[in-house]
Amino acid sequence: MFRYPKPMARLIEELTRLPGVGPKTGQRLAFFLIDQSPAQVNSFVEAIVEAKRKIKYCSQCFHLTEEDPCSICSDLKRDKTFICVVEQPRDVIAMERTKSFNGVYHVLHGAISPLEGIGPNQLRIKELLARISPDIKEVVLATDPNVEGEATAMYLARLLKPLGVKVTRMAHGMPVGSDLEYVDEVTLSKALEGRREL
Amino acid sequence: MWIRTIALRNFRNYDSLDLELNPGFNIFVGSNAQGKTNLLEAIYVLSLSKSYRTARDTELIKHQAAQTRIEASVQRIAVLDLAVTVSEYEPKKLELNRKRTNANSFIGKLNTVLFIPDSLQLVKGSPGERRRFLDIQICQVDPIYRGSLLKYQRVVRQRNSLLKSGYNQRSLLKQLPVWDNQLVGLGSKIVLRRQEALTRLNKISRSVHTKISGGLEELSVIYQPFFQKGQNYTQLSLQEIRDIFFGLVQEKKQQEIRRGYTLVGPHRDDVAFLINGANIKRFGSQGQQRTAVLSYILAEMELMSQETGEYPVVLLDDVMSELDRKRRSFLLSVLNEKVQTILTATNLSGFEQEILKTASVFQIQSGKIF
Repeated sequence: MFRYPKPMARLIEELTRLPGVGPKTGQRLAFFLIDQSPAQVNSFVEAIVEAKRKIKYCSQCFHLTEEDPCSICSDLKRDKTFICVVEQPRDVIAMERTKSFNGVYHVLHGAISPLEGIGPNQLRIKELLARISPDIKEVVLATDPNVEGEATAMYLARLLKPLGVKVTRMAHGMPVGSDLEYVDEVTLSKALEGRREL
Repeated sequence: MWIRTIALRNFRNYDSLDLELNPGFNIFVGSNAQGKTNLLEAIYVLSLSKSYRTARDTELIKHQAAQTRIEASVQRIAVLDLAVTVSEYEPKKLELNRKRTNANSFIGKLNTVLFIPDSLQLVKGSPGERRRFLDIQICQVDPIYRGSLLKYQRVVRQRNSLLKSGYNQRSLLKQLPVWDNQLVGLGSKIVLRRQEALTRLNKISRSVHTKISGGLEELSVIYQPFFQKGQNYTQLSLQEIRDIFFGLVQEKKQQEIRRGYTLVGPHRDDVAFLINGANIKRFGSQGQQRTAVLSYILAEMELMSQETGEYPVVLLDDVMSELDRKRRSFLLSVLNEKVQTILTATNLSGFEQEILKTASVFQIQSGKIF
């Protein structure tokens, strides 16, 4: 039976640990890397090592950053009394792309999921509570609209409300720019539930 | 609605098959193990995006092939092209009019009602079987129900996991209320929808059954939600369901913690089949059970047509041998001229000449059609 030379097998195995990469893709990526020039491979490796060395979590919002506090938390123009709570750093990126949020963030690094053994203690919830002071005007919960995200939002709401802070939840609704008739039924019914008075 | 054409590639024992179907009766005749049921299964997969025979999609792929594809053109108001591709290496692909889509938009485009020898489990089997029957039917006409059901099942699994670890780690149980909230919210919507479907199914199947039994038997199909088992069912509003549900969640909490799983909710619902007031799961003869299932399935077909404005395609696997002459001709006469029927049989002896005149008959042998 054919076996890969040891270094190749090791490379494939490491690549297969990446999310979304199975054995087939792992092999393809490994062959691609072997075909690259030493300079290209070095640059790739350095990028990984450098990112791992320099990137840390912001001590305030736990977003990824090179400097602590991160560029959002240290931005004087941002409203520090308005906190948007998200599950993942990539959610911050998504929110920032909208350019319409001028507050600050708090990244939980996950959502409550007993099946995966993730409870409130595994998330950055204590750190969120520590940020709540009388100055905070509003906390918007922007966890994912799935079962785990809802549970997390509800859990946070129960902790935050007694502190006297205004707690809101992101609306589920109609995608902008689409006609009513093309929106799928589930989204449409959610949007109807979350309707507001004009 | 009806299926104009169907094409299979590397599906089960079929290499390649292209068929034009009849808007009325389509009879697939062949000995056992030639691929009759596989054909019905392929149509079912187009309807619900997965098989009723296996939970593993890759079993649908022909031996030693890498992927299988099923395509069909469905005549509704317009023609819809549906396709499912299952591959060993890639996630399943669902296509609607040649554009990739998700299960929520795919299911409900081709509605089917399935009647197979195993359908007797509807009466004889576990409550889970009855819930499955009901859910499959509602999901086809109501994508919102399907969304709630999937979420609800996830909530139950999460909550069970929490209850299990909470037995040894009491502090975890502080999280329970956030799961209770979703359990009751989603679960109540499911109960309300099942209540509505069964109320109408009960009415229709009662009248169908009276006809089949020549007025001798009265069939009742009664919803048995987890909070109310009995012969009479009173309709409740969403708010009433929520209140009862919430009360029971509180009441059973200690018991749930001891047992380590969720004891209340529509995942414990059932449906009772009564003939002249007696539950036929225990007291019915085989013949009565079979007739009750037939009545229920015909009622399902009527209900789906009421909800969507079009009759579903009816799939009958080897049921002619299961029914006596009287029931056979009743079934065929109900289906005749109304719905597209795709059925399998080992021979044509059970069919009256009048049916055979308009039907398309296909002979199947080792995955080939003659």
